Amino acid sequence: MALINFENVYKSYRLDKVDVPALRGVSMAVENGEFLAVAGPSGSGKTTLLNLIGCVDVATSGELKISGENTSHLTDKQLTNLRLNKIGFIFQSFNLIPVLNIFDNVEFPLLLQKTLSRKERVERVRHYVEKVGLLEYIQHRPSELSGGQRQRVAIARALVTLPSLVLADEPTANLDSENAQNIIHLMRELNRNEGTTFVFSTHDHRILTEAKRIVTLEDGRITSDEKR
Amino acid sequence: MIWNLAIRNLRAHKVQTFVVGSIVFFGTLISVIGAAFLDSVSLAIRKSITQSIAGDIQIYSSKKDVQFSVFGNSQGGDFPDIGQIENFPEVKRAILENIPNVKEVVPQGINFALLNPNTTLDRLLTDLRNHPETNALVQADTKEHVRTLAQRLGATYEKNALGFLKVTPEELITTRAALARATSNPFWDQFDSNRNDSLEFLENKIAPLESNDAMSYFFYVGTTPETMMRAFPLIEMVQGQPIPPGQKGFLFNEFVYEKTIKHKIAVRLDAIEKKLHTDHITISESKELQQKIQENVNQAPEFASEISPRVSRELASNLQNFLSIASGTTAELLPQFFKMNDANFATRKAYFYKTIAPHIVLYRMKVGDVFPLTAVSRSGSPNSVNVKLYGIFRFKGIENSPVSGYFSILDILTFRQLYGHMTPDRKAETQALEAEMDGALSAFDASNASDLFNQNIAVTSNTEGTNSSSNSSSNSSSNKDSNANPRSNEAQTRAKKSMNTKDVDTKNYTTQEMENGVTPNAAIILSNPNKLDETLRNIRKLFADKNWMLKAAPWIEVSGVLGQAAFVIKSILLLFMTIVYFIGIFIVANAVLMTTLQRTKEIGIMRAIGGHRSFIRKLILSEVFLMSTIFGALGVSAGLAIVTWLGVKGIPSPNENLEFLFSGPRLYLSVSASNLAISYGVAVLVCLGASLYPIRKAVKIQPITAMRAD
Ligand SMILES: Nc1ncnc2c1ncn2[C@@H]1O[C@H](COP(=O)(O)OP(=O)(O)OP(=O)(O)O)[C@@H](O)[C@H]1O
Ligand SMILES: [Mg+2]
Repeated sequence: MALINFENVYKSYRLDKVDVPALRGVSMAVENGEFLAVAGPSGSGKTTLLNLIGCVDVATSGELKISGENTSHLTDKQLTNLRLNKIGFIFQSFNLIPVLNIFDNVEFPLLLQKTLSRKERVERVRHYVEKVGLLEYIQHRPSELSGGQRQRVAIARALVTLPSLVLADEPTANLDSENAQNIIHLMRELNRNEGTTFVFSTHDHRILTEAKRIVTLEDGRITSDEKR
Repeated sequence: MIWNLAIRNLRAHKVQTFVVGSIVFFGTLISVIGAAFLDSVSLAIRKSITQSIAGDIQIYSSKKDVQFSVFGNSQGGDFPDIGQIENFPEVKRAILENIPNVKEVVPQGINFALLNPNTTLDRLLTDLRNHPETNALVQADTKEHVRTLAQRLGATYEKNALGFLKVTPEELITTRAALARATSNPFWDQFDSNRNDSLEFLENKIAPLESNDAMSYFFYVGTTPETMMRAFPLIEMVQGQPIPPGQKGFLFNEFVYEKTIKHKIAVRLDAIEKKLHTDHITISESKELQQKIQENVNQAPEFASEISPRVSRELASNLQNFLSIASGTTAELLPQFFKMNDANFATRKAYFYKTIAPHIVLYRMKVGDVFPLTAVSRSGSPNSVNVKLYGIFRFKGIENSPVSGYFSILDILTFRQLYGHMTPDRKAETQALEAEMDGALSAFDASNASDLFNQNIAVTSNTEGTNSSSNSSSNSSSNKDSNANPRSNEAQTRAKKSMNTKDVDTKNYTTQEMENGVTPNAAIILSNPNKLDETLRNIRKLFADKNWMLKAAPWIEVSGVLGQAAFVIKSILLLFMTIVYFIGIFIVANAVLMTTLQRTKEIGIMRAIGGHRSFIRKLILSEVFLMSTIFGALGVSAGLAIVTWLGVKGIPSPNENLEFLFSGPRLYLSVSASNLAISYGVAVLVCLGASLYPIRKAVKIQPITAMRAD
């Protein structure tokens, strides 16, 4: 069974009484352990697609199943549990909690999960903060960090719960090539070692070359889907 | 974690925190002070009512369906017939034996009394009759005094006879003849040779012509005096002694004694001084004080006639000196003397008390005197009995309050004589006084009821100071049937006669004799007043078990408007607090909503990375809880500090009538721990309640909308 299954999914936004189509009949399947890149020009519907997978948005029509469950049939609580326990989401814009420092921001989903002891949490948080290269900033507030640093904090936060599915919306857009490389390696490593499924949108060739499969969107439609 | 986040959020949104914080702070502050005020007033009212007359519980017959109030019903001074407690001694014994919380059971009967004391002429004639052996100089002076008074009476009689008196021609002739005789040389030359006849003539023909504008009205509690004084700790003797156990007798309340027994001119001087002192006003700026001065000036001629001719002559030069006026008699100088102003008031008042007052009757009744007390009996007819005035007392702390100030104390035996059964012929005989009493009562009712919260209870609302009416002795109800005058005059004469005989019952009565008889109601004093409800239930059960037709009412039910005052104040305060809290809820709700909406993006992120709705709810609740507990604690502390300060300093009573509610000239605030807790708890709950709406808004925030809100 596919981890993610799109079945003729439509998504349109209502803007000033006009329906703006973002996805126009998307059908595809993503298997466990894939390392998939969604490519396409700006406005093609990449973020919309990820938001649907990430259960932060719902399709206008068509079916989207995650682990065989039709997301439009799930309650708010079940969707929240999915987001909390199964999915790690790295948003296109940084989305940290401004009043919390880096440690607290990364720890936040672990606290919501309530599964780890304090000691385990501290270890886990430090591990991922170190992986994204921000250990020395661990006590800093997001406002004291650069855009790229904040992006890396968001990545650490997405990975810290060891989700089986990580969604990343342009994860390297704000990073210099060295940091971008590090992040990609981290993701690759997790994909290889833990079997974590990655779905990310990007324009970035550095990632595209690493991707095992590239789905290209244009005007809300899949124009190509190539495995490598 | 939630707390950590909540604290950080509060710090991050300082303005909203401050807004909500100040609302909570002032809300709790006001509610602590309000609760303290309410508590203290309730306590004070309770003290004033229960410790002066009512006791904690009143019992009375349940056979009559009347609303009983120890202070008179809402019309004021009207005491309906409440029947009587059958077999009071047995009831008392049963209550004391069966209900441990009861400390005392005090038999009581409350009634309205009227006092018709001697006129100057009465006093002089009594002197002449009772002390024929006093020295010649004094005798001569007294006689001359009587003669001048008779002359004065003649003048006013002529004026009034042609005016409103409407005397018959025969009456006019005989009265004129009598007055002519009383002022003639032959009569006085032969006075001593036929002393008895002469005195009788003066007593019967001349004395009744004198107006008695000094009628006093007050209430009394007929009781077993020693139990009453033991049971009511506010009672404090200021003069004389308590009524000895087993004796009949009377104790004046200092308030009514000073206001109505004291000479009117002196009362006005006292009142002026008090006003000057407490209200810090001057005579020149107060119409009220000028009016009082004018009344004294108007009454000066009458006042002069009260001073004996010899003393008048002696006083004249002294007055001339004092006023720095070269000539004039006392009668001429007194009106000028009483025309006081801010500059000379203090010295003149001192002079009045030091030099003038000793020559007049300053108090128409003194401790030790026997006097006729007139009251309305149960059947509604007036009745007179001689009683001895043993002393003067006051209700400590509330001595200036007219509410309790009009209540004096009488032994219950005399009370029964005045109140009890009437024989038919006695009834007919006293019918005469009825019309007068009715008039008096209705005049009193009208003035008393409306005056509870007014400055002056116009108990003696009569023709004071004007001295124009020789016969309308009771009051100002001028539309009264003028035919009543001769009749009431008769009644007065009879009352005076009985006074002159001074027959007073000095027999010693046993407690049993005292308690065995008509007892309309009884006050019950509790050892622990806080167990009022429980004790009340026990007493009612006892009455039911024994099949007694008796009612037991808590103090609040038998104190008329006063008991309700506590309730009214409570309601007003509650309403006020409700308004404060509603405004509070509104402001808090808005402030919390504002912070919530400002954090839409943040809340969206939390939701997007797996925060449940319940988490968002808890987060906002924690923030509000933190704010309200912290600022609430500050508010409660500040309130407590203010209340403690006011508890030491006291809030001054704005006027005398409020002293009853304040149970003294100042209200000392205190607040109970439970009230502090309630104020605190309510503030926290109000805030949590106010955050419900913002929370509803907050949990509806979708991650997707939040993510776009940049
Ligand atoms: N909330 C929204 N309301 C209205 N229109 C929207 C909304 N979200 C997306 N769209 C529209 O849907 C289309 C797809 O948007 P989407 O954000 O998915 O593009 P994208 O491929 O992620 O672009 P980019 O590379 O710039 O991030 C666009 O035309 C966009 O304007
Ligand atoms: Mg996008």
